[in-house]
Amino acid sequence: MNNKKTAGIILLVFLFLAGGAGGYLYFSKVLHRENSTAEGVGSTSKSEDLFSLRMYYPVGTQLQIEERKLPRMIGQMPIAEATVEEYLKGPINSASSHIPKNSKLIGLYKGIDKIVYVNLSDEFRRNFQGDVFAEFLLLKGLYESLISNVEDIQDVKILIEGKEVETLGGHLYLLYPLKDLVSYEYQ
Amino acid sequence: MAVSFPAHTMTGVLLKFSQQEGSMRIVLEAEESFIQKMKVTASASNIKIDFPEPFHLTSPKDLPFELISADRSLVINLKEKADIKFFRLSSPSRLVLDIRKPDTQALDSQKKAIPPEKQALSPEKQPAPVLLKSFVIDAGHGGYDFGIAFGNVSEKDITLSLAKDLGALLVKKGRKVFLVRRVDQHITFADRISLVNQKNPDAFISLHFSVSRNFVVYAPKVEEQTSNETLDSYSVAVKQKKYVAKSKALSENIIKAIKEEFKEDVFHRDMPLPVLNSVGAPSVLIEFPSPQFVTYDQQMKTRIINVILNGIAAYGQ
Repeated sequence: MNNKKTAGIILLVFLFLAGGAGGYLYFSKVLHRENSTAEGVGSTSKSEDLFSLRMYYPVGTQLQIEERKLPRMIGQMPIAEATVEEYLKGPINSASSHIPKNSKLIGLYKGIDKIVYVNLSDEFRRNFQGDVFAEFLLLKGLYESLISNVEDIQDVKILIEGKEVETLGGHLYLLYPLKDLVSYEYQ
Repeated sequence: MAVSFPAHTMTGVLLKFSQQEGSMRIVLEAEESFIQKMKVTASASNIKIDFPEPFHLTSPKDLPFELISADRSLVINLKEKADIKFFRLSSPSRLVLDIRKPDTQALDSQKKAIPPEKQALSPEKQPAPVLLKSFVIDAGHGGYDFGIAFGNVSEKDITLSLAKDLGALLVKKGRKVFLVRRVDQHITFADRISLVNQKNPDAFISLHFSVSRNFVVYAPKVEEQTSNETLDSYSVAVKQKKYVAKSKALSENIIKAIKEEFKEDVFHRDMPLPVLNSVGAPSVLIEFPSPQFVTYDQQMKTRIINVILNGIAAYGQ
């Protein structure tokens, strides 16, 4: 009798463990399939839902155009922010640029006058090392990048740490919006 | 416990040498970063090169000059005085020193033409007379604004030193000179412009550095008809209107003087810069080569000052 009882208990335990293992294998496969499907959907949407920014970087004595692909954004101000952030990163195709190191975008807003106010960290002024033309190209590049990527803006004005400053590098005014300053045609 | 230190490897510097009649060329080849960080100081008969770290020099024997090598510097002693120019090139990265004997024949013929009582001074020290009476000289940047800096040389210091030396020379000639700044202090555009307009000088000269190895000369650019109320209200592009032609002439004469002295291209741009367009005086902004490419020793400063003096003298005539 005892032997029969013991065999019965062992059988029950075996059946219980087999059921548990089968269930685990089944659910783990299902979950894995669901996860991989979800990841696949995500990667497809990422690769498809991109947009291009056209950036104008100061390189040497001219502006160099570079395309940047970013995830699609809704609204013009996020695009403007992304444009400034990409600009501050500097060009990929050239190491020699006068974009001041460690500059950060603090904030950005559009006035009712359709002027975009770009509030930059003090590094943009403090770390600038350049002559008249380098300063001119730095401002022109930022202006051109914003105007060509963001809809319905008329001008760009730069603030440093939330304040108007007279000049960036000691050669050109920063007190005024950039359009008139950068409209100068250089040779 | 044994601690191992990485072995200090010395950067190799290869010296090459060539000679032609009346001139010789010394080339130092090394890694690009090493070449870029070399500091060259030249006088009439010797050249000192400071290296960023210890180096190992390889050079041919029997050179017509003396080489004195120290831990991080190399001195080249020439046998006689010479005109020395240097520049950096890439592929392979190298420092080139061009050494030319002074043109003694030309100097002799010039001396013959000069009356004996004036022969003590070279033509370089005898620029044409400056007929203009008053000047405002603007040393760019200052205070927290260093301008362009390379090593321990900064734009604000060199421009101040040049402005003071140029001013002192003009004062010696009996001219009125006003310096925008005399010490290392920050001065706003508004204050610089205000001083020029208050003094109403015959010429306004603003001194700066370029990022390149070239001189760049800026003249004001004024639109014939400006419809920009913002700019007009701040007097940009207004005060200069009467003086544009004179400013252009001043800048052209300075460019000519630079070309004559340095035998190099000078970039010329007309731009509506605040310190040029807002002043009621013939005005020019001169950018000197970056200290990355030129050593601003006393010899170089003297050459620059003479060039400006020659330019304003020619303009005044």
